[in-house]
Amino acid sequence: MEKQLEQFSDVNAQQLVRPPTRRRFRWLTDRLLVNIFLWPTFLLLLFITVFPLVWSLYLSFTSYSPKRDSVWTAAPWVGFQNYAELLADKDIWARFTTSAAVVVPTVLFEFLLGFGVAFLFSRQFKGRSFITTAILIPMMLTTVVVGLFWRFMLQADIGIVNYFIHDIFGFPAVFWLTDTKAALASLVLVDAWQWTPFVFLISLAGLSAVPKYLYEAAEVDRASGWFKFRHITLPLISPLLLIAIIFRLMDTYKLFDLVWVLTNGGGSTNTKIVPSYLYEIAFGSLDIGKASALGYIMLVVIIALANILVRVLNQLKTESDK
Amino acid sequence: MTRKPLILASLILVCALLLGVVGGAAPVNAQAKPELSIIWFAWPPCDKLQTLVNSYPAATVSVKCVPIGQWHDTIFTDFVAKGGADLPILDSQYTGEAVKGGHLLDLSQWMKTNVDVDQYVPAALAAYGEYPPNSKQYYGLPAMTDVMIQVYRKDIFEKEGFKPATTWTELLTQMQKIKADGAAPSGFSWFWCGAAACYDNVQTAWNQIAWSFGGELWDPTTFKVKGILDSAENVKALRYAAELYKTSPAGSGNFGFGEDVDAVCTGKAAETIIWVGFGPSFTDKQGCPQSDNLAYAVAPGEVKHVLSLGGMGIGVSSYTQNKDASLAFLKWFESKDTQLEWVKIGGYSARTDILDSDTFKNAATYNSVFADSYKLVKDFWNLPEYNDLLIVQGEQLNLAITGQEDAQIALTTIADKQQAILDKAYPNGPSGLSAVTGGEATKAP
Repeated sequence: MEKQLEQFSDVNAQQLVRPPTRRRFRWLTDRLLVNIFLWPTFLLLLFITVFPLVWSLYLSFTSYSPKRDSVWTAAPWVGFQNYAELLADKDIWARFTTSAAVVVPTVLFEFLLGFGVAFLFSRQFKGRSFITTAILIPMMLTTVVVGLFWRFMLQADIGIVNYFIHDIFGFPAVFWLTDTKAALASLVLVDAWQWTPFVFLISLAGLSAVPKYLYEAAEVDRASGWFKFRHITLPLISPLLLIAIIFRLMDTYKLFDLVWVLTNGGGSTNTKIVPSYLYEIAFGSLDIGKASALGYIMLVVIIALANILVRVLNQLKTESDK
Repeated sequence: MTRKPLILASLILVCALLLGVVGGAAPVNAQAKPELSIIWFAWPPCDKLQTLVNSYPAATVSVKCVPIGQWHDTIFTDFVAKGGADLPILDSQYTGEAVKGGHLLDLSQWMKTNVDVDQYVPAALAAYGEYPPNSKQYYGLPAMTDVMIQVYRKDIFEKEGFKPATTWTELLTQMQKIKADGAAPSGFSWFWCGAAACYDNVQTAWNQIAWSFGGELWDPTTFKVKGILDSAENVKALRYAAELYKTSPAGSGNFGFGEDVDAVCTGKAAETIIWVGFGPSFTDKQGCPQSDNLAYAVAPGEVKHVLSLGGMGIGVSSYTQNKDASLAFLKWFESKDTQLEWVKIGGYSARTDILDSDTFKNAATYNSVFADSYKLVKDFWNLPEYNDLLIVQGEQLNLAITGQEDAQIALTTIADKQQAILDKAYPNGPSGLSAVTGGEATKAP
């Protein structure tokens, strides 16, 4: 009986170690299978992400332009000339200033409004789910569609916005898309309309995750509403809020489609931000070397900004862990 | 799963794939017709061209109409990728850029035996395909000629006792009065947009005012812009445009062609001056409620009478896989019979025998105006750097016209920036111009 059991366990052990593979597939080891599945994806990722990054870095040190050079290998190496020219160009600094004039108020507006509305929605009330879903709709729309709708609504003479401002309330009509200051405000307004729901969603998720017992404990101690907000809510959800800010900062910084649709790329209004300028250099002037350099300058700026925010995020996390 | 169903499923799959390949290939072999592609920008003539080329018997030709803001970028990014349409339709300003990049076939020899070169308006042949200027090297043939004409509300003009203006000054007075009288919500609508997405809207509009006021954009013999573009005549022309803008619909500073056509068709403005190619938009009674009230006249002059040259040339891409078929198509397209059909459906020819024909004159109500106007045309830079020059000009002109910058400052800024662009590209002046042929169209079809 014992012998039979030993034989049985040997068989089971063999089955565990070696699956019942047909002889002709014995060469297909687990390691090989892993490689077969992994490498094509890995190579594809390398090709579509890392290669363009490295290649554009190389191009940023050349004066490559298909207008002058038949092949990119023929482009002369110019070292840091593209970077030096760009950084010495007054226009670039004006474009970065314009970018900042769009990014800062947009993100601030989205943050304040998104978080404020989320705070109101953190309490239960009738129709909360339905209104929450409705608030999220703008974020689900394509930016080009949003831009086109708003372009119609902001038209100076036939737009509904001026209809209310001018025809109903009697204020002077605003040239939303053609006046330089108003055009900037339009960009901020439309981007905030579309992306405030994103901040709202993240904030709402954060507010829902705050443990209720903390508030109950504070209430026992007769803490004020402000005290609860300042010492319970804010510290616990600030990491999430910061993540929302980082996302919005990066997205607004590389905003292109909305500017293109709303103010025609922002040429003659003061809304030509860095990505629009980069588009002009790359696809209008076909100055690929210079455009690549500008792309890298943009990358460095956004990495620096994101780094600062991530550090703050880590600091907040450490504080909340204490 | 047993082996049998697996093998059966595999067999069915293989058979289906084979059938797909054979089935897909069969019609191509049966047709034996090459497929050709043309690229242009989206406007009425582009759709008309598709109608015309549907009758071409020797190939299946498709016309891709892209938004005007992406027209240049699509063509040239395709060129960079050594692909794209077989027959790109290029603006006259693109010629230098395309030729210098080696993207077009040299048609100079081929056209001597395949095209009635003598039948063309010489200025049109030069504008739509010659590079470098005066070199007699041709890389394109006229696809569509164009010029701007006055489109005005004859009912309002009759009421006000006006005749179509012959000078810009007269036009301004008329438009100011129409607006002041409330005969129309606004006087003059135009495509004032100066952004990159609007391509050359405000530039081609203002250039003809500047030329008519006695100004120039540059000196093509020395490549000097400073002291020429920022001249007193041009400052006057720009201040004039800013006054004309005040009679336009509110906030029309970003108007492109579409908005401009709408402004006149919906009765918002009493007049515009626009490319003849948009003519069908005004004669279409369904789309243009004011169609019956519209009349047409030659655009005004001032101390000179000069109008912006419009229209485009068609070339053969160096990267086409259908070189012979493309050349055969070009020969067919430029023939008298095809050009007659082209003008019948709304195209515009550069052939004098067509322009003089009754068929052309009777094809549209504004065609006689076109014939008178086309004698007055003038083109501007067709250098590879034109896009950089254009962007600088568009932005500043728009700012000055919409009252956000002084005309003198705007023109000085343009002159400084354009001079820097030209000095960088041509340190030795015009002697730096050269062509890179993308191959020669030697084989006659």
